[in-house]
Amino acid sequence: MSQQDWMLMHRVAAGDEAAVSELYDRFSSLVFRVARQLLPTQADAEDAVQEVFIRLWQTADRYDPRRAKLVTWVMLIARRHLIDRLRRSAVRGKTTSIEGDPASTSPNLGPEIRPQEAERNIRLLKRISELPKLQRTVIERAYLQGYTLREVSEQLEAPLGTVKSALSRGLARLRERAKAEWAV
Amino acid sequence: MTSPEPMTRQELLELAALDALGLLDRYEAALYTRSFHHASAPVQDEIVRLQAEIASDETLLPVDEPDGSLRERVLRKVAEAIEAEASEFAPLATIGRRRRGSNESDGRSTFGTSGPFWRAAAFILAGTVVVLAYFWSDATKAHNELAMVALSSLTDGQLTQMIGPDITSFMFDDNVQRIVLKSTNPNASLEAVLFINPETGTAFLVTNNFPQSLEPTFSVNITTTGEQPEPLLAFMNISGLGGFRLDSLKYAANALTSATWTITEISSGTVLLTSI
Repeated sequence: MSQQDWMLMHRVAAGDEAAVSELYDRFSSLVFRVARQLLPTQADAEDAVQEVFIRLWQTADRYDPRRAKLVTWVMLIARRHLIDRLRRSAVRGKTTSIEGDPASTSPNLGPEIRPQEAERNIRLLKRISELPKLQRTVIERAYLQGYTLREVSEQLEAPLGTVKSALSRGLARLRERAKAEWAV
Repeated sequence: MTSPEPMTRQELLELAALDALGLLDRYEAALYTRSFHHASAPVQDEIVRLQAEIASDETLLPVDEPDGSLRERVLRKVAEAIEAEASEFAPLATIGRRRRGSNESDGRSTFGTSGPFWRAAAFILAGTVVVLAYFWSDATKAHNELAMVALSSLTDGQLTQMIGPDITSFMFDDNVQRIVLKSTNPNASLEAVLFINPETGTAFLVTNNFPQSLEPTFSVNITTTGEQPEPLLAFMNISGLGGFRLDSLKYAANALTSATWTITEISSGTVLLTSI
């Protein structure tokens, strides 16, 4: 698979539109969902997805399958682009907030969301809200709002190492709880 | 001052999620990647798998699917971008293609706005294998930190702010010759490549894994036939990767490319890397 993925990205780098299509078909769902997580509206997210796939084409020749699987690469490119976009638009902090009622502040609970999707989105935010306070705050600010860890460290007046540990443990805990829920 | 010790397996695993999700800043991401390179193959495999699991973990994402029309819009936009670049750069005979939109800057500069930094991404030519062979003499080298720094810096405009056009002018000039300097100590991880333009008498030095210092600690030296080594540049290393331009090299073109190049530690005179 890694050799095939390298060949795919090599073709993408060369401007092979069939390769770009294949890349889109494999990863558009994930990219869109992370865009939706970070950006306030569906339209913003869709615009961002277009930008991400252009970025993926621009950087395709840098992909090294020995360092990361393609999904890691794609999502890293996507997240970094989205965070940059978020910073430029200065809407950080107005998107997902878990303070108060998650349902009332989530940007994902618009009329276009089906009931079962809304429920699962609420569940994610509820899981975050159940984390210890520091983990919850760090995840909200760094993972959901795009602040750097240094910025979060300064905001919270906490050592950078503490912030990193809280984020790492918080993410691990979210994943564990999600798996436990799905296993039921 | 020496470079930080590589992270342990446990540290690499603890920060794997942050690295995969782009939550480490550029310097930390470069340190992480450097530590990844130093780790054993089984640990590297473990991290690659873990990061892929994290990156694809849908439980951390909202449940939303794009509109059906988005596919066509995205593919059209990408096709337009490809076509636009092809039209602009068609006349150039280049080793690799420069890409638009690679100069995003977000102002998050950790190292200030001056200094011998360059944009690692500019090094990456089309085709990973070509890049690796181009940069380091050991074509079987498992990892290329330049590519990884680029990976970690993709939308971080810090390097872009500090870099002039120098390195790209060296990269895409057919007159430029590349000389790889090899460490005299097989156990050391120092690396350096010289890009020499004999026609203009200029060169660009790329260094990797040099110990960090706050004052010039290393010297680039040239030894032409029958002559003593002559120091050309004293430099210090601030980060894992460094880039330094050498101007006004007053040697004949063939002398530059046939000379012996060395990098020495200034205080001891120890030869750390050599072109022979």
